[in-house]
Amino acid sequence: MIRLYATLLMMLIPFCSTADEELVIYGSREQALMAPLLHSYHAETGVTVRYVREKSDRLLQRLAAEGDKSPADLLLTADIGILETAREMGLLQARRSQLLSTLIPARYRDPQGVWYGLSLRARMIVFAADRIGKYELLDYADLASPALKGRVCIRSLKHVYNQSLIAALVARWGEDSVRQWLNGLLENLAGAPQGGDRDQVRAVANGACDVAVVNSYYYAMMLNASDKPDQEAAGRVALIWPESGVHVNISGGGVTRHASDPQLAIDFLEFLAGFDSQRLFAELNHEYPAVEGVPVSHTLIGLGAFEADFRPLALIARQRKKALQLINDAAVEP
Amino acid sequence: MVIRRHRYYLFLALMFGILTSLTIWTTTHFTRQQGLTQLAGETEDDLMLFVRELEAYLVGYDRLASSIASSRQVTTLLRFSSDKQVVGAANSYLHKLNEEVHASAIYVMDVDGNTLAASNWQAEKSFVGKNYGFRYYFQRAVKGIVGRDVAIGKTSSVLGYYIAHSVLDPETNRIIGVAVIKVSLDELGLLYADLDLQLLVADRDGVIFLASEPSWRYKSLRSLTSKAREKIRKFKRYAGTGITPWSVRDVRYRDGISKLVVLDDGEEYLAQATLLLSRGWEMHVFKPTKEVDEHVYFAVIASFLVNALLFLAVLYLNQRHRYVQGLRNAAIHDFLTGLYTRRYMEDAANAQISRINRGQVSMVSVAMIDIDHFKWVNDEFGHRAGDQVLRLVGKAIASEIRKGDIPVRYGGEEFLVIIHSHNECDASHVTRRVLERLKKLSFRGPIRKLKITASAGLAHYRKGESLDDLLQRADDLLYKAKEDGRDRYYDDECNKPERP
Repeated sequence: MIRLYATLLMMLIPFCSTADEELVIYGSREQALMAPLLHSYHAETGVTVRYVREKSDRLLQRLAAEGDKSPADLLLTADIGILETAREMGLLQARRSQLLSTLIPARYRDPQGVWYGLSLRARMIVFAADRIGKYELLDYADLASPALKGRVCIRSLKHVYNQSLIAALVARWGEDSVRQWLNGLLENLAGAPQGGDRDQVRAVANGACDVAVVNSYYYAMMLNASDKPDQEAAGRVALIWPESGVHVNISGGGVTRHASDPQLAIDFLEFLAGFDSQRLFAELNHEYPAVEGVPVSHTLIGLGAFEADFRPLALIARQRKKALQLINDAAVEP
Repeated sequence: MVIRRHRYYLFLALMFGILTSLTIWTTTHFTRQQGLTQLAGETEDDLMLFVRELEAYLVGYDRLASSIASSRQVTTLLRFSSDKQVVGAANSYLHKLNEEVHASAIYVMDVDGNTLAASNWQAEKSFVGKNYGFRYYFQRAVKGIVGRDVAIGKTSSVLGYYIAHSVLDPETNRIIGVAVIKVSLDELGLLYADLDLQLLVADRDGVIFLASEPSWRYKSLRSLTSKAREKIRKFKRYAGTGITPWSVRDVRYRDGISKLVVLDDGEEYLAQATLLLSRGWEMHVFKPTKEVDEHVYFAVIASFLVNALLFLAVLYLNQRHRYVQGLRNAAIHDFLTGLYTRRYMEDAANAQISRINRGQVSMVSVAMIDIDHFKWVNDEFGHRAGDQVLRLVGKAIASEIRKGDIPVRYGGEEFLVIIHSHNECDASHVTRRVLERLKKLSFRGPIRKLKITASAGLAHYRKGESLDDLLQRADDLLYKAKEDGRDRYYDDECNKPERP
């Protein structure tokens, strides 16, 4: 119902504006999740916001194809991998903001201001408590343990979520250790990787495998799902926060290279880092706010606290190429 | 009449009850919701403030642990730990450093967990020579991960926050030891001292280690899994303290991030929580809702008073209206017969004459009626009988005339009817009917056998004349009818006696 209202509000936005300023956002986040934020920004500033929603890779292609004729001022997307790719393709520009630098911890933003993290999602391990023994599972490293042979589920390793995780592990353990770990992990797979993160939870719940790697917000959304089987599946599995530091990724944004009004784009990013917007992130999509001290949803509190990887995402992102090479080398998956 | 009045007051009381209940319910609901929304905003502010203060307090120690781990004194100590001079220099360095930063203790361990040097090396409960290899922070740091943990000191028995960094051999880059800072958490109590709120901070297992309410310490927010219990025992985190569940009396979820909880003290609080991802902690802030309830209380009283005032105002205006209405009725109605008074008749007749003069109405007639021998009735049967006759005559006249005609008690036993008619015959017919009716009147009591007659003079308005003229002519005709033997009426158009 909230989404329906949000969509209706979203439809009203272009007709309500009285100001001359217009902000064009290319984003991969669902329109229904963005609508309340866009609406309150419009109400607060009078700026008309046009939100173009497509999948991340398509948005990058579109930005590249449009070049300096692109109407986009801001790119909003999930995962450090996508934001870094956009940076490498020269689609974003560095813009510093004192406010964003103060509010957003350094490890969740680009040091030059090319991108800023706005919300966080943690890569967690879920498992079937009745089939996994004591101390068999404490960390990502244990996913390669021989004890879990044929018992692990994970979505395609080439998916950006896993690429970023593996890049984080390369930064943490070094290339050689990750190569060994990947080989061990592939040995442990219960079957060829398939489906999304939710499918991995379902697979553990229905006994197809015993351990899986998923993003926190997918799991939290399943716990709150109106779909009963999904809710029950999430309720049947247990979770563990990897003890060597949980890989935390971001959903964030950056000012596009050819933005007609870069300051307006930064202004909108600052709005998203504001208290109310951060709370909405937490409430609507069960993501962790990037700004410290903002309250998080009851569901996330129920999942407990964890220690996030302290390494800056900008440094982790530098390991992406190595991570992809390691995945390609080790991959037996189609 | 009394019953009707009681019903009226009952109705008013019922309306007041319903309206007051509705107003109080609405006031309570909206004032509370508004108050809670404001309180939620304040709780968010407090939560962010406490998190920032906590981070500001600890972040310096984070950096310090890292710089100690890379300091020359510490690396030299770990490389030449058997050299007493080196150990003494390291102890002295750590002691001096701690005098500046006021940590609980700063110490260095080898890769087996033995403490080689410590800032408290001179103290009775010195850490030097003790082995803390079982600690979680040590086991992490010795693997090259920053080790952070909250635990009760095995030697000091003091709760503290431990930050451990691995120490690398500058030549081989191998981990040769661990540098640790233990920070006292007691000073964090200053964060929430004297504030009208409750606060708790729990570790990654949900065990509360810092709380504004001392009895909450070492209680668990969630039921501990066997793995978590095993870890607490293995790392000797809480020195064998039994971790019991932390419970609340009641919980109601308000929205996605706020909830209303009733704590052990019986008070209701608005609660919000956040996570400190850099430390693996969760912080909960509880703001009492009693202030909101006080606002609600005052709003309800105010709303009740406004309602009562409105009710009294309505009651007063209503009573005043009824009183004025009563006075007006008394002024225009004769008390005994209920017919109009002479004063009202003059206003009504003059208005009718004006309408005739303006051509809006064609004519008006006045029938002046007098009860024959009424004085005799009074003398013979008394004034009460006379009053009965007058009352029944008034009633009979009112019932025989048509709607729109005005019956008037003109004075004594004299009555008058202003007849709105189209022609003289009309008015004559009404007068005849009235006199016929009076002859048939029956009375009760001593005058039950009494039969009365009446005489009348009927005058029709002539254009240009005054009301007095018209009344005078009617009176003359009545006088004439009396003179000619009573029980008849004269109509000035034909000027001859009419017998009903």
